[in-house]
Amino acid sequence: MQPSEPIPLRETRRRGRLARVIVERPGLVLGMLILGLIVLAAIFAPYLTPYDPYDQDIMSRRLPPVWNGWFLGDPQATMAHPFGTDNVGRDYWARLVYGARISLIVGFVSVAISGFIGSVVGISAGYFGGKVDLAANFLIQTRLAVPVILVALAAVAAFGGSLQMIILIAGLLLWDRAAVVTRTVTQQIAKRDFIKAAKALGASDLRIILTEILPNLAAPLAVILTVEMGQVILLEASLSFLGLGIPPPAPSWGLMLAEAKEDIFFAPWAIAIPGAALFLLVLSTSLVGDGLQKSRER
Amino acid sequence: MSAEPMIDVRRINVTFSVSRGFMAGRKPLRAVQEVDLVAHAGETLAIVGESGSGKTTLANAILNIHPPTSGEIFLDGRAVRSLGRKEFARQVQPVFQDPYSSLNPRRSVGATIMQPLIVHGIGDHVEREQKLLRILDLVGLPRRVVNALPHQLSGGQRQRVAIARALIIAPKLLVCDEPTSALDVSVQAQILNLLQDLRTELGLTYILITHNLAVVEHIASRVAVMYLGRIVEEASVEDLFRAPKHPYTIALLESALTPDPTLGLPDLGLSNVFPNPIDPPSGCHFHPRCNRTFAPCSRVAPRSIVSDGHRLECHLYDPDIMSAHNAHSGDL
Amino acid sequence: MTAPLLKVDDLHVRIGARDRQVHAVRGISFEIARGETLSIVGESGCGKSMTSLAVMGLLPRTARRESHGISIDGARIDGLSDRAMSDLRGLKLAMIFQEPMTALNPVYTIGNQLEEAYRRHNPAAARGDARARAVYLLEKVGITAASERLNQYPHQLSGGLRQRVMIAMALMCGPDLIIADEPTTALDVTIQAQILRLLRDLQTEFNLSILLITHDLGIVARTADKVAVMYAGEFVETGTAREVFNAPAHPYTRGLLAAIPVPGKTERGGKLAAIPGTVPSLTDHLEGCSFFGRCSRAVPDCALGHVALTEPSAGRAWRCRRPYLEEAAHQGGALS
Repeated sequence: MQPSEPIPLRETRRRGRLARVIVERPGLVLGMLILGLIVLAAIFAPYLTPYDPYDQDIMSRRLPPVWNGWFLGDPQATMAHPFGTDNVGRDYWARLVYGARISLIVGFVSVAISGFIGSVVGISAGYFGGKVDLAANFLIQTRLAVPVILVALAAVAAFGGSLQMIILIAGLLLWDRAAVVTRTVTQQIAKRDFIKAAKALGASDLRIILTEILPNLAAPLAVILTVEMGQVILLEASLSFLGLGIPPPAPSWGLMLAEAKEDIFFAPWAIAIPGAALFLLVLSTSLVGDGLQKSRER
Repeated sequence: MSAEPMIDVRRINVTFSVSRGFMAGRKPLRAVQEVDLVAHAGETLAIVGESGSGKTTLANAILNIHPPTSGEIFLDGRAVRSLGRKEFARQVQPVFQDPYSSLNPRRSVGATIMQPLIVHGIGDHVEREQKLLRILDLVGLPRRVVNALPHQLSGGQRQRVAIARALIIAPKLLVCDEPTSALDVSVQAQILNLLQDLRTELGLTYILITHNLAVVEHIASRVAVMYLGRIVEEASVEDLFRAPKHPYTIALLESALTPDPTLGLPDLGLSNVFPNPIDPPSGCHFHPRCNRTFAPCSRVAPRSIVSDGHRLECHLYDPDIMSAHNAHSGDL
Repeated sequence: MTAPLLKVDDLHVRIGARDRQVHAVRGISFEIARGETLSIVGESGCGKSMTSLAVMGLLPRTARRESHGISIDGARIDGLSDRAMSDLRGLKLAMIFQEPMTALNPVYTIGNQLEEAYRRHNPAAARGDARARAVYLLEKVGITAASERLNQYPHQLSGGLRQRVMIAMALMCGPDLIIADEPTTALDVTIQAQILRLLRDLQTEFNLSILLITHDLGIVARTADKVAVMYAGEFVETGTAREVFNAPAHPYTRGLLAAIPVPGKTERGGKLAAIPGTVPSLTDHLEGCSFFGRCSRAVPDCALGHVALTEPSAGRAWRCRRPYLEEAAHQGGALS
């Protein structure tokens, strides 16, 4: 019946795509590489070290890492304990890789909780508008007025510190950014005609939110949640460092820093190693978040 | 003409509450006022107006996206209020202006077109795909586009997708809001031809919202002209284009610039006063811009005068007002 | 015969990096005499906006302009530095954009912006002079209570009034050439007619040259002296408005005119002649006629070589090997 326009369907060039991503987004690639390595180390921790992170060995306390042997000629440094040992003789490499599990679990689970809460608040505010938006804004403002560290201190004082407690505190408190971002993006999407088309189809609000809006929120949410994950990991480390987070003897990186701080002059590596690990992990999340953001903007 | 009109809009009003700024409180904005409209099966009813005329609000009311504040709409003789949302949606579907905005960028063409079947629980997977292929042929889209995302298509193809999505549940009435305004002229012609073909082939009724009078003349059978929320003139297309009466309609017709280099630019004689829809002028809403305004226009709202299926709200054609006015000016 | 006000010779615009380069404007030449309107008409993506930006020296940073010369009043402007070009804008040539809201700064009053446009080029001028000129021009563009309007902000004005302010601003320094890129596309039809009329009246009064960029054939027919139909980065047909509209020679021009419904001319409810196919990609080298593949008159030869411009008389030209010539003569100008 109609002469249809032929052509379009622009070809998506798959070949050389990876190469182009590496050239155009070196930060994203580097971030994903570091994050990927840390995740792999955490998952395969038992295969990466013969030691148990909790086993103390009084005979070999505060052994220096192996490179002290290479560069400083320290005879105590051996490949038996490549990253050295801590003040009660636990293998530092083992504590580091098992510690990555704690950081990552706290990061992922808290962000899942806060992402969920934030999305519910943000999407309902952006989609329904009016009074719902007012209420959501009030919630967000209230949340922003809550000092996270103080509430965390109070909660730990009241219920005792534990992994679950840290996850709950971070998850229940750090949803504000997700809420603000999803609210704005939802408002923009809700104005578009495909939402009107879905309404004219008789689709329910829940269906519209789940099938029309949520897929369009995935990218901005991914950006905000990766960045947030870095923040949560730092929060856990800080609380644990203060002795208010993960209780000893768990191999939390924050705890490792705390335990090493008395020995800073005898065993500086004991502080440098978990510090560097924490730095790399948080750096990788910001690189990934930043890279995703830039890819979205293009 | 069948006994029951396809859609019968009876004295509807749509009023929004608009904030006038910080501390200023809220005021009602009467976007659609006392609108009566009828479209019979197989007809194309055009609603013409400029921005702020309320034509899109009226379309949203007819689509049941934003139901009227007062008044009643009947679909095939049944009150829309009494119909379920989905029952109504099965019969009335929209096509929007901007096919960039009306398609979900994350959803493939096939999924977009089949979405109405899923929402309404029509057919199983196989039947849905059959319907999809049939509708693709009907709107002139090649089958290979099913897996494409909207951004991979041209504007015309996107508008075909939007039309296919609207038609797949076989509605009787299509509400087209500026369906070709965002398209290039060569593509506009394709879409207009398609809409024409579909109407005859499927026996559809159209409500066409537009500002383009050439398009109205080409495909519509009746036309209603809106100004600041009111229908100021309504007639058959032949009638309105041959003998427009309302000064606003006349200005609109003159403003439609046909590509004829022997004609210059029209002198509309309209004033540059632009009324605020929140604070519409007293009397006839058009009087501050009108080139034929006279004493009663600013005081009394014109009533609706109907003769020979030509409806009008203008004092110039109201015998009572005119005779009173002439008698008055005769005295002087 | 006086020298043209604007003369553009073999203009090319290339956008983007070398490997994914778009050759958006492919060698166009034109002249505009004083007091004359040239309209470049074409569909989206044909390169008409790039042409106007290239003349203004306002191309995006990724775009490169090449030409054998762009001159205003006989003086070359294509070699000028950004700074010298910026001194020229407003003074010699000014631009009116499609969306006045984005072209006006929302945080300054109308008066501020109008006066700034004047003082930018007349730094010695007293504040009172600038203000007086602003009031004078606002009245000229049909804005009542001009001196009060000066204290208003852009958002307090309707779209039609904002476009009038834009026109007044363009005229502040008395330019010779106005480049109007879709100046009325965002406006309502009655306002559009009024703004176009206003532009024409101002043109007569100030002897302005206007380069009008639009997609709307109706506007072109009613306002232009000369017309250039642009397709895929090239002019495919040029001539006076009457020549192009009454006897279109190029199949594309003819196709465009047949595609729009015209009340009283096209058969109501009849089929419109759509142009099949889509515009060719401008990333590649185009072999043969750019309209090949969409053209109903094309013969295999049309796909070969470069189609040169046929120029039977000065200013009248088409880029086609099989133009509609006899038919045009037979029809005597009437198009159905």
